[in-house]
Amino acid sequence: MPSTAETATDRILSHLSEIGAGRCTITEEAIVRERDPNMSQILLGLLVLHEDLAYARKLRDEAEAARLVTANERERLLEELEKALAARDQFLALASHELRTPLSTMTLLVDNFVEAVTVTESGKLAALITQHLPILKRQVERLGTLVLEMLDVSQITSGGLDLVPAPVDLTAIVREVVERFGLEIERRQVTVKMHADFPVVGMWDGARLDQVVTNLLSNALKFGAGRPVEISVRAEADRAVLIVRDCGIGIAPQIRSKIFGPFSGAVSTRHHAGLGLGLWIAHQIVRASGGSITADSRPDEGSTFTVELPR
Amino acid sequence: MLRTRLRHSGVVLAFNCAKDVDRVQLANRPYGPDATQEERDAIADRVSVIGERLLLMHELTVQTPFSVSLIFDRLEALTKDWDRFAYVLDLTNATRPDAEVRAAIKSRIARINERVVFVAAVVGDNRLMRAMVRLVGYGLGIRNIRVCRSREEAISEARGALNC
Repeated sequence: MPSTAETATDRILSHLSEIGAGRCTITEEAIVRERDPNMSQILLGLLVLHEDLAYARKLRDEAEAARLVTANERERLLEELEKALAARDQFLALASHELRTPLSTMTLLVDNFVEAVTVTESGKLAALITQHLPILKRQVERLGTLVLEMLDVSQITSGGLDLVPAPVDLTAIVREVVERFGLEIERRQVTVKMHADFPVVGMWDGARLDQVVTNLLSNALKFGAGRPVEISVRAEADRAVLIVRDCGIGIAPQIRSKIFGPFSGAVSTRHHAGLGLGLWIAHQIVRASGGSITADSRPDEGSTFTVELPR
Repeated sequence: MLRTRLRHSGVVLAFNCAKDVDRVQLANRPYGPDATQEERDAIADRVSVIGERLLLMHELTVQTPFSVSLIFDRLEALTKDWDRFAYVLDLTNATRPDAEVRAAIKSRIARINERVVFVAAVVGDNRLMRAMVRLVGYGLGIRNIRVCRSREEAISEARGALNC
């Protein structure tokens, strides 16, 4: 027959063994029922010990989970940073190439002029000037466009666009842009159909809106594969809608979500010149104007860009 | 709730005359950050000055880290000018705090323990809380703690300890 002391020791050891295994069968009722006040105190102590251990385990698990989340988040941010750096490097390489191309042409033309001025007869010189000056002008314009795009990037990324809204007719802007692209349209032998018969007036920044239309039309011509391009402007109750549609090479589904991002030209730059910033800049201008821009496209069937602006 | 200001020994003491009457009726439920301002005030008002360097802390039935924080914030505010004090801890209606609440209490007691000269805990006939007070008091390093059956007994004990 075991003594009372041994029984109490056995009980305590049994509970300690359970607690060591993460369990506890001591209840508050059992503590209250216990006749021996010392044993009652010990049982409560064991119950509290079990609870404190469980709470410490819970805190440790939560800390571990939080550490994992932090580690994953850090990894994700690092990955994003690497992508951003890669995009920046790609952009710098592209910008450098784009800036060098017209500069090389211009250098060559200027060299020709210098040579002509020194050794060629005056009649020949006049012919050379007539032939080369338009090319020189185009290259200067191209350089100007590239520099302006880069300035836009700088302005947008350093704090956003500063728009100057005033009463503007979107239809008039579209007509002006199409007219400006006259030579380009002719050179590409593209038909541009306009559905813009009535003035659509709103409070917008005219110069920036011109840039949006320019970028969308420029893309439609560039990626339109020589097929017809349609531009329509219409007024709705509280907004203006501009649609630019081409029937060209379209945008692959996997890159459609990236086309409004910076430095993410949807098409290989080997085939199409430019910094690939036109849509991003257009998106930023439309968004800063309180509007939206969306794209619907299928490969080899063309793309439709819809701009909605509050009036 | 009536508030009376007494000028006592050059120290202005603010205490609640009707200490057990809460502005709002607090329910027997865990209170968290979703508590209304009235409920927060009522929880904090569970701590009051009942004499020179003597406080009453009437514990809620269900304690949470949130309620512990409110109660100890009030206690610290009331005792900020005292280098030593005692308090009566009324646990008559309190249930046993869980591990998380015990951890919160331990952390807050550590901040005031140096200045606490005596704690008189009122547990009535609650055997479990009697054992719990001894255990937690020991675990928290409260130097001088006494378990009492009634509030009157506890106040008397605390006053005696303060006068020693």
